[in-house]
Amino acid sequence: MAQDLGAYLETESPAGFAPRPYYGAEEDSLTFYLRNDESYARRIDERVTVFLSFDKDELVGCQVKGVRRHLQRFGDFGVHITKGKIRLGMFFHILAFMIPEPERRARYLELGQATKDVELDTGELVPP
Amino acid sequence: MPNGPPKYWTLRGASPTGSGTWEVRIPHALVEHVQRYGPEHKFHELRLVKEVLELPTVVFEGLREEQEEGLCYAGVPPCRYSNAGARLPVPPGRTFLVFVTVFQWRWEEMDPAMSGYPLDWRTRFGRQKWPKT
Repeated sequence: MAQDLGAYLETESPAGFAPRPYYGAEEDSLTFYLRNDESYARRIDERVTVFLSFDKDELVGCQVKGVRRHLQRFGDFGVHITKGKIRLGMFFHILAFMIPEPERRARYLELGQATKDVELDTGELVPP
Repeated sequence: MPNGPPKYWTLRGASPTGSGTWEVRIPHALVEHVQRYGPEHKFHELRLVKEVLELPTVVFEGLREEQEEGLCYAGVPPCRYSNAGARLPVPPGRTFLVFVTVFQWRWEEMDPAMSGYPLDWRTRFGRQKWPKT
């Protein structure tokens, strides 16, 4: 097994694509790609960055910061999420209602629609 | 000698002081996730991470709004990668960012007035560590 990243990249190949969220507990950040399209990032606000395809600027994925913190905050609004799975789309829809600016809210709603079938296991959202 | 990959990969990057180099750690869990689930071009882009860490156009300290620690290296590498691993021309108006401490890498829109700098760099980031202003 390579002990050098350069050698690792030469010997390993990507296994393909599967839309699977990555949660980084140390940074409390979730990254999710819907599609395999080559993309660049556009920051929406301090919470959300979207990934857009190079060729058509279409939504390809997103990164959300402070997932665990937001879920705790939802409790203040009477939305209690206990252990189990939540739909990522619902997460974006709830956040959208907290945003007064129409353009930003529309982007959150777009993300909510795009991720409506993506499940997030709250058991994975544990602090490091 | 361990059989598996290390918990962290290390790369040497330009020191944010502007003098010499230093080690940057990349969690293997993140590399492995990208290798297994893609997107495939993100895996190949790890080659660009090394290039921008070694020869950045600019290094910023901290993300202002989130009051985060950490550094952001930005620069324009010689190419981008397709999902198949082919080298393609650099997308116009884009710069490549590498975030250190909370490790991430991605293309973003470039400030048209400052080659290699990301858009809104004045409001997004804290102090510019390098080049010294």
